[in-house]
Amino acid sequence: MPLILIVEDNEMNRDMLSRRFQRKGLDVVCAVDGPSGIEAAGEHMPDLILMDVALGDMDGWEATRTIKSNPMTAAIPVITLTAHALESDRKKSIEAGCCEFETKPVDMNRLFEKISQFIQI
Amino acid sequence: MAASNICSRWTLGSMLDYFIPKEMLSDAEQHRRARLFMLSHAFGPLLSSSLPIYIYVANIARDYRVGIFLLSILAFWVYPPILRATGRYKILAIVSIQNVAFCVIWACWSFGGLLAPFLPWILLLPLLAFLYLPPIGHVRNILLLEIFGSLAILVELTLASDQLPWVDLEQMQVIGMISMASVAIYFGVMSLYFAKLFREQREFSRELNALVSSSDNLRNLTAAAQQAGAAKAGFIAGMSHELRTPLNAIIGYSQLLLEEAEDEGDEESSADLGQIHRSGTDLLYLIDKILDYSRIEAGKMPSNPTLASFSSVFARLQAETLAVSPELELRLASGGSEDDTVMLDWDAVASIIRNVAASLATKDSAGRLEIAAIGENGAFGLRLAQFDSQGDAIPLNLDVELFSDESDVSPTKYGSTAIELALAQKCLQMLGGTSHFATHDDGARCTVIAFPASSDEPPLPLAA
Repeated sequence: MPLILIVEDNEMNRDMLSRRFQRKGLDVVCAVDGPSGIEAAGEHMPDLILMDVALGDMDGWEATRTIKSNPMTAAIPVITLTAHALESDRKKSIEAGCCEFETKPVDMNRLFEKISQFIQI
Repeated sequence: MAASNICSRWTLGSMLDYFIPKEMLSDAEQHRRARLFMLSHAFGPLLSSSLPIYIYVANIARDYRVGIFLLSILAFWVYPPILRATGRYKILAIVSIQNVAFCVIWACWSFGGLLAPFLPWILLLPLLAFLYLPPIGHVRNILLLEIFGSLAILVELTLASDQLPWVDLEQMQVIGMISMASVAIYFGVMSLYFAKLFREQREFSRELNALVSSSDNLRNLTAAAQQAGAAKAGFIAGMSHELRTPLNAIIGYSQLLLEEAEDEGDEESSADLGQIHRSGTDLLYLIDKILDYSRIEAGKMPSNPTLASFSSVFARLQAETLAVSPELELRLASGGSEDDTVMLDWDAVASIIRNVAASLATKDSAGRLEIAAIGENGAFGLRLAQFDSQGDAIPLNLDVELFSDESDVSPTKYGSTAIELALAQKCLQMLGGTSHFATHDDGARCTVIAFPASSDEPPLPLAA
């Protein structure tokens, strides 16, 4: 069963996303900030990472760059979640190594479509 | 009318100023001194030349003494053009005072020595020195030397009386009266003019003080406004987060529960949860728009100019629109500049189009928005034309202000709101752009948006 790592600092968003993915039959692990997200990526080797951008001291782009710079985790697809649909945010995400970009509040149908490009759901 | 215009243009002051160097015009004190210098040189010879003319007409003397006396007086008319040509005011003022001293000494020596009726004119020397020149140490010393030197020469010439030309002093009685009257008039005119200038300067100082005071007030008000703006931006940023976070949860959980209810076949709960979900989504949409609007107003919307072409931005906008409003068609019309690479805040441009499209979608879900990138001679802009589901053109007025009494825009009328147009207008203002109605070559009415080439320039005009 595909495993998804959710890196999100807001507890309700984490819970909501986890339950939605679990309903779709996916396994989920969560991390609450950038450093723990990087650690969880190396430890669990998920099939996909859902990365929030606003995470505190280390933002989602920096965490993604670190994950992509590690040969072990570099191949894991990362989808970023941001509050605004700004061209600059999209560019920053692509530059950091993310393969997709989704805005909050999350439209689950659209997100599942994007996820299905990378893993079988 | 023309004559009165000429009169208003050619005042005494402007005529006098014509000869004054520009650097003196910008300094009130120097300007005042130069004006007095010019007035004295313009009208002084008219007044004082009556003396040699009377001497000649009354046949008191008709020789070289009268000629030199008259010429030394008329010489004052040469000073204004020299001042205009050279700009050497101080030197000319010192020479001019020396010129007055020469006139007085010559007239006294020629027509009676210390008994000559022209002696009171010697009092002009300190007066002119006071009026013409600033109280600077070395200039003052030169003038004192000049005045005492002139007096010494006169006394020396008079004491050596055998050198004085002969004159009939009885004939000089009338000219004595004319001389006294002339010197009195001269003193009077100069004093009046000085008083007028002094009064004007005092008025000017008072106005300047008032302006300085107003400027201080404005500075304080600006600081207060900036403080209020910063507080507003802080409030908006905080409020944005505080409003969005619970709304995201409402929307997310309602959607989750909705899916569960649908899976369980609970139609009643599904309908209720669907209402909650839709209302939450609508509310979030509206809050996002108002917060964006407020953020631009507070000058806190980040600007990020990048080099890109409109066609690359349009492709993404088209996909977005298709996903959000499938019935609304976003079409790229040929404008000739769609592939030009332009430095612009494309996020803001995308926001304008996104909002225009959204406003059209709320009016008629099956409409069409045609956009063309146009440009000429370094100007760049967009041509927008919108059509309803029947293909009829819909006027697009971006001149909308939110919270205005004159506007029927209400942020509470979501579903058929024009808040999107107000936000599009705000984004356009943020970019320094302008919009106007135009008619395209095919006769269709459209709206032309022009963007400035840089932030400190107005946009260049663009035709449809």
